[in-house]
Parts: sequence; structure tokens; C-alpha cells
Amino acid sequence: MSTRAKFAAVVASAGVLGAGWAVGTANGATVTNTNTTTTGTTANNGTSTTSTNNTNTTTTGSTSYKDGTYTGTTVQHRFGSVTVTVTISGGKITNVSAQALDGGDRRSQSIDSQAVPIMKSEVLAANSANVSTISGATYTSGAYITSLQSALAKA
Amino acid sequence: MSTTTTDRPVKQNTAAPRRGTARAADYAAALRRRYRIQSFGRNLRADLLTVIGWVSVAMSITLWLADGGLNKITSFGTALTALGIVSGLVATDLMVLMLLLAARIPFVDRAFGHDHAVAVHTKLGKWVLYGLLLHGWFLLCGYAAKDGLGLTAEAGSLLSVNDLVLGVCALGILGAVAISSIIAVKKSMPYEVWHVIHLLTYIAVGFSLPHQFSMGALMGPGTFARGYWIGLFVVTGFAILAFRVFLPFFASLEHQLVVTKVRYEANDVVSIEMQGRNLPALDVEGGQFFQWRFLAKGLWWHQHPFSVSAAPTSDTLRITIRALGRGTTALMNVKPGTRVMIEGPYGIFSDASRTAANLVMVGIGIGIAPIRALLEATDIVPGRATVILRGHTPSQLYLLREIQVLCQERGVKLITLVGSRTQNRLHETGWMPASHRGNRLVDLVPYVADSDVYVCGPQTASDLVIADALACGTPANSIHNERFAW
Repeated sequence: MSTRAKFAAVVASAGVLGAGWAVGTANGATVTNTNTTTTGTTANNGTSTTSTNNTNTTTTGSTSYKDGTYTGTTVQHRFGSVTVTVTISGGKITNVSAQALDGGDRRSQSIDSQAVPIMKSEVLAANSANVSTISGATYTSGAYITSLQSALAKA
Repeated sequence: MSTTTTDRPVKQNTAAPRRGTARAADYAAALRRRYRIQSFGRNLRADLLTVIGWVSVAMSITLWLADGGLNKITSFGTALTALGIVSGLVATDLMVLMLLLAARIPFVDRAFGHDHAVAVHTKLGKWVLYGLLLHGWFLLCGYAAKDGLGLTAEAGSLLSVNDLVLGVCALGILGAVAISSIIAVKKSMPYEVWHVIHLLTYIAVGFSLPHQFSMGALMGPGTFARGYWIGLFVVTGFAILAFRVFLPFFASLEHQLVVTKVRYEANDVVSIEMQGRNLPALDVEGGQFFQWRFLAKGLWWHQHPFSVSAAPTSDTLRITIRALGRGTTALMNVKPGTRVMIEGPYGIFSDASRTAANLVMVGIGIGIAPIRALLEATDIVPGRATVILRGHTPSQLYLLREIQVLCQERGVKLITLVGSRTQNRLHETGWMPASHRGNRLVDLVPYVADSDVYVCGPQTASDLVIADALACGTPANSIHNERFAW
């Protein structure tokens, strides 16, 4: 390998790596900015120790819904989809269940099976879709919240 | 497959003028300029390919960085996971480079030389295996840390994924391929066995693909990284199919080579002459080699690399071979009329590697055969070229009569060295016989420092000649030695 090739390889590789790093950090910054909550009290009661950013929900935090059972839209994400069904009784969320479909691989299943119960307890405690996503299950919990919002919109 | 149907004239040497004339000096200067430009271009292409290789490694990491890979590191477990992902990506990229280096892509082989491309391929193999082992280990530890499970429990949970089971199988196969390619192990088995084990690599690559796309978040649907990697795999697969399967197959079909003559040259050495159609379309240069497969009972499953031992004519090719193993011994008795399949021509032990106007060609034993073809084909300044033939006994100076005639015609000095190797005062083994004890290459060829030095023969002897040439001041990139690597 000639000196010229070594030099050119180092410079070019560093350039490519630098570009990737710049894109990566820039994207990270955008995500943080758009994820700030807009209104109301946040119901982050800390059941999940791994909570990161606040969610991008715009729910007003009102606690009154019409009684009944509502199914939200099925929300697709990178590793599968989530459909949330919510039960309202006495104007409050009394039960929430979710059907999480994944790509069929064991790792996604394990992530989903951990994320769904955490989301359930957070939603019941907050009595709204105003909960945070779970790091490590960002896609599942993000889709969960979106589907839940669509269900609550009907209530 | 070539589309040329007209009889193209066989490549002719530029007519060299008589020595000592004014035109001779002009001719030498023109040749020097031509070879300088040629070697500049070749170095540039080799450097370009080297840079592309390194950038592709950087690219595999960059796509992960651009996907926000660093932002996902929030704990020890996620850091391990990240390391696992990156080592897997780098290993995959190196694997792609290995496949491309072994694909016999003409541009790559002509820039690096087939033997050098294979040497780099071999060197990368080790790193691919290390990278994949780290990939598995780091991800296992990272996932275990995140799930709060022990390593065995995590491994059990992961192994319930079908795609991952395939991935683990792929790793096992690649490990077996790597072990079979360790020199000591490789030497202990017939080439054909090693070759079959090596072909399993393609199965391993196939097995490893599903988990990359179904489990790797980076290559999820709709991402740029997915497109990039799929593109890389498709291009590589296409190159292998085109240059290793279809091109040789159709070349064999088109040229229809048939053995016409088998001539006894010396004890255990024969020349095999073959006739075929449209041979100029193969563009063979003297000094290049083919992979030959003789379609006769007991021979068809062997493939042998042999250099052509004469510049090809419009309808004949010739090789000169020595019985060195079971396969080549069986070839001594090949019958005229036997059909021959070819892959090639490969190698740049030819005019294509020239860097200077002066020329020294050293043929040792059966290594004389490609020297004979090169002598006929490359351009020569009369009086500024030397052929050195080396053998233990006079009978090992194969093709001597032909070479004498060519040397006389082309104004090339011929030196024959016969006898066992000797040691010098420092008890270092030299390559010269007792008759030339203490001599160096420069004592035989005064202009060796300013020459291209071509060496062909058994590797230990060749290495001694190369060391001698380097000590005499020949630049490393002017020394050419075809290593018969597969």
C-alpha cells in the first residue's frame, strides 16, 4: 500500500465518518426539539425508570370521557404494529389492552411483552395518553400512544 | 463471450531496431516512456481501489452513526450492543470486499494482480471471523445486560429466533472455512476438498442475510442503509456470477479447446498443445495463466493453474507442465482429442506489469515455461534484456532450444545456471550454483537496478532471487513474481 493510498484512505474515511456523525447528531437534536410537551400537566409518575423524552402528545389532560369501549387505529412501526383498545367507565380509563404484532422475531416479542404492561400501568395512572415513551421500546411505545390517542378521540 | 468473429491478427511486437543505431536510442526512450505511463496508471488504479475499500468500511460505520447509533448508548448494556452492531457491520463489509477480491473482476485483477488480490482476500478472512465472533459476543452480553438475564438464559431466548439460528450456523460454517484455510491445514488436504469447503462460504453468506434484515434495526424497511446494503450484496453476487461462472463457461463453449499434441520435453515434463476457435478474442498475453480442466476420465474434477508456455497463435495455445503431484502426473498421459475447459486468462506476469525499458527474466525449473511466453510477447530493447535459466541439472533447463532461438532473434542475452544452491561466507543460502559462488544479480546483469525483474519458479528459490534483486537496487514495484495462489 503506497503512502499516497494510505493518506487518501485515511482522509476519505475520516470525511465519511465525520459526515455520518454530523447527520446522526443533527437528527438526535431534531428529535429532542419536537418532542417537548405542549400543554398541561405531565403525568410522568416514574413507573418506568428508563423514561427519556416527554411524548409528543397534545392531549389537553382533560379527564372526562364518554363511557364505552373504543378501539384505536392500528399503527404501523418499523418492527410491527400496535392496536390499542380502551375501556371507559365513569368517565375514567378503567382498562386498556393492546395487541402488539411484531415481525415474528424473538427479540421484538420480548421487547413488546415488556413494553405493553408498562404502558398500561402508566396510562391507567395518568388517565390519559399523556405518558412517556419507553427507551429500548421506542417504536412500540410510540405506536401505542398514537393508537391510544385515536381511541380516546372517539370517547 | 466475445463478439469478435473476424480473424484479428495476433498481437505483434513493435519491431525493434538493430542495436547501436540512432533509432535504437529513440526506441528505448519511447519504450521507457510507455512503460512509465503504464505503471503510473496501474498504481493509480490500485490506489483507487484501496481507497474505495477503506471508504466502504467507513461507510458501514457511517450509516450506523447517521441512524443515531451513538444516541442510543445510554448504559453499559447499550454500549455493548452498539459495539456488537458495529463489529457486525464492519465484518459484513469486509466479507463483501473478500468476495469482490475473489470474483476475478478484470479491473481489480489487472490493477492488483490476481495473486495480490488473493493475498489480500486471505488476509481479510481473519478479520471477518474476529469481527463476527465479537458481533455475537457483544450483542449477547448487551442484550443480557438490558434484559437483566444471565448469558445462557439470554442465549436461549435469542436462539428461539429462526433467522438468528441461521446466522449462528453461518458463523459456524465460516469458522470451518477459516480453519481449512490455515496454511498447515490446507496443505494436509487435497485441493478439491479445500475448494468444496471454501464454496460453503456462499451458503454461509446466504444463511447470514435474513437476520441482518429482520433483526437489524439499522436495515429496517424504508431506510437508506437497507438500500445501500442490498445494493452492495446484489452487485457482489452479480460480479461473482458473471466473472466466475458465466464468463468462463461461455468462454469454454465458444473456444472449444481440444488437445492436439502432447510433446515430451524432459523427464516428467510435457508440453500440451491445444487448438481452439477464435483464440485472439481471449486476449492472452505471454506470461498469463489459465485454470485448466481436462474433460477426461479421472481428470475432469481437477482444475490446475498453468501458464501458457508460448505466445498464443490465432488457433493454438500451449502449456508446459511438470508432474509435481497426483493430478499433474495423471495429466502426463492426456490423450489428443480431450476437450478442455478454461477460466482465464489471469495474472499480470506479463507486459502489463512492465515499468522500465530494461528487462531481466529469471526462470527456475518449470518456472521457465511462463518466462518463455513472456520473452516472446513483451517489448524488448536489443542488448538491454537478459534471460537467466536456472536448474539443478542441464535437463531441467526446459524449452532451452526455443529460448535460444528467441534470444538470438530479439537480441537478448541468455545465461544458464546449473547446479545446487550454495551458501555465501555468512552462510546465507544464495540462489546461484557453485560455478557462480559469491556472485550477485548485478554481476550477471549490470543494468539490473534499472530493470523490470520477472521471477518464476519454486517459492523459496524465487524469494532468494527477489531478495538479491532488491539488494542490487531494483525497486520493489519493478520486481514481478507470480505466486501460484488460488
